[in-house]
Amino acid sequence: MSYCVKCGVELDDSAKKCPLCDTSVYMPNADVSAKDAPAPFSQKKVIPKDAKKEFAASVITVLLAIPMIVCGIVNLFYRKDGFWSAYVITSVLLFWIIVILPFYLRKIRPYLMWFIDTAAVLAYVYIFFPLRNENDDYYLTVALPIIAAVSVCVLLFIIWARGKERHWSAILIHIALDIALISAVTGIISFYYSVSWGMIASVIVFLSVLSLMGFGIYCNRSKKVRAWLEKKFFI
Amino acid sequence: MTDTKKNDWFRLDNAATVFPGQNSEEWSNVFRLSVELKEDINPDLLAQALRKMLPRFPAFDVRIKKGFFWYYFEKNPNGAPPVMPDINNPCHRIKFKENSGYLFRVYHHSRRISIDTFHSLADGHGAAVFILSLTAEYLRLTGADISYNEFVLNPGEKYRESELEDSFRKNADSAARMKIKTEKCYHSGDVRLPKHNVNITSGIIDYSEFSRLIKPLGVTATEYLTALLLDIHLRKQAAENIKQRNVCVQIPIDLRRRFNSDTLRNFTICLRVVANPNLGEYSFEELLTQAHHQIALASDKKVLNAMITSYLRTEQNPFLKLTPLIIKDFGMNIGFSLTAEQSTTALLTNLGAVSLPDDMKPYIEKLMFMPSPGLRNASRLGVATVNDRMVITFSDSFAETDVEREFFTHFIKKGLHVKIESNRY
Repeated sequence: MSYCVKCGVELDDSAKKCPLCDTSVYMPNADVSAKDAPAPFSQKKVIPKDAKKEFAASVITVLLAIPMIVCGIVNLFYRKDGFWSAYVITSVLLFWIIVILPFYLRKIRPYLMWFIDTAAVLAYVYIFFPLRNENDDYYLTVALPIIAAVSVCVLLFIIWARGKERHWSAILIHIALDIALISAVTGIISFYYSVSWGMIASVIVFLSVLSLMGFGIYCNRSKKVRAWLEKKFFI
Repeated sequence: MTDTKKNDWFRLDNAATVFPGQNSEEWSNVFRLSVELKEDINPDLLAQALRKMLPRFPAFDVRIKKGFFWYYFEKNPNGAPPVMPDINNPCHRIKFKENSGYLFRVYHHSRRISIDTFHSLADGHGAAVFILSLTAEYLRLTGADISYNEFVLNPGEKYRESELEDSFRKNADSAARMKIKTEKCYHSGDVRLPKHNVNITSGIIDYSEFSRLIKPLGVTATEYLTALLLDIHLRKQAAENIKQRNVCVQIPIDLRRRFNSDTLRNFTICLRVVANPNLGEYSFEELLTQAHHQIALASDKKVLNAMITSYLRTEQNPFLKLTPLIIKDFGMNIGFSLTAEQSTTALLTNLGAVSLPDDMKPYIEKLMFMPSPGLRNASRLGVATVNDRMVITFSDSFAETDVEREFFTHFIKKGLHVKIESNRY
């Protein structure tokens, strides 16, 4: 049985300090059982997940639905340029599936989201190209290989990242590597079909991410640089 | 139609309707009741007792659903909520889809059984009957022979319809209207704890010693504790040297005895006891007089009836009735963010002396009642008395503990013995 010398209140046997005034409890002659007495309250804290994200996702969903509905209605009266509202509707739907849908899932399901996102992008591009009256071959020869490359890279990244906890510098290297691979695939396809702008863009992206990868590798190897960055930027 | 069928769903009572719209990370409307026994808790037996007890309490055996205009309760088909090891930061928000859809959580820690209840389900009295009945059932499973009374219900008998009634709707019949005051009161400028953290400080006082203190003064326990809170906050405000506002203590009053109700849902209404520092300096004795008379005036049955009728009229406003729930929730959320606890400095809720069956008394160490921590209230305290042991529990979302210290050392100075327990150390 201990008392706070400042407040005069009796304290719990497990108390190390007085909860009212923070004065330390000093009992050199206390028996061991008193010192090891169970605390009156559990010490385990539970930090619940922020539920506001679902509310925010619902608000964004409503905001996204407004341009879709407005464009759809307007398009019914102005059909001169064809079914142009489909651009807006499909684009907004794709954005909703990739960005907003995960907020409604009770727990993170990366493989499910990977599958849904890949299917959504394939469907989006499949609908989008005929709308623009592009060559149908484009879908099979250009879009499909690029989407497949992106999808495989993302899947490999998910498998790798879920294996164990990774350092931010390793994650940076892997993301850069994935982007480099995707830009390489895009560059090869552009070269094959002689699309000059595609080749130039691929080379620029490829070189940029290579430098990013170099920076990631340097940080990953140098403890000193990592410590400095973590201190300066709270990474 | 069988009773079970009839009670497959039911409306939220008048007090309960405001809570789902306010339900947020910062303001959970979840309060806690804990019973401390003399032996360590066996969680398996507790889960067994819960499953056996829950059908006896249809007001608790529910989940909340959204209608187009209002929320409603529906019988929960999931059996019972899990019995979990206790946590350091109780009373955090109950999300309607977690915890198997139940709106109360059951915890155990060492010798203590705790239940965190969402306020839409019940008030302190209803939750006390639930936890004490559960504890009695648990004790029976350990081999004890416990009888029944008004706080310990028999799980074998069928529930009474009156336990499920909305007593606000039944009793509100006043022709008068009471305007609800929303003046701005004093709030301390203390440092807030990080989100989802709460300081719990319980003071255990011998009730007979406390009675000896208050009896010559001719006041009740609630009146004495209210005066003490007013005194502490008035002095704290004066020391802060800011614009002197009214200090107001909010007190939920149990209406059951006054309106002859035995509902296990909500049937309390909040009174306000106010002290204006601009009128001059108050002595503690003057504050006792203020608390005594203000509570006595506001507790008049006719005044209380007018108050509950006013609240019910708001709910029955045709415009509000026809407003879709999503808009009601949004309005409630915004309104509450702007005005939450604006008109109260502190909250004091006294469950009173809980009478246990004689054969249960030897097994019970104490009962603890903890209100949900507030947004701006620096002190929110719950009081429960059982077996001549009064437990006063502060739940506080501020880092400073000066109010708690002032409060409990007041009794030390009066010669009473106080034991402190806290989740801090």
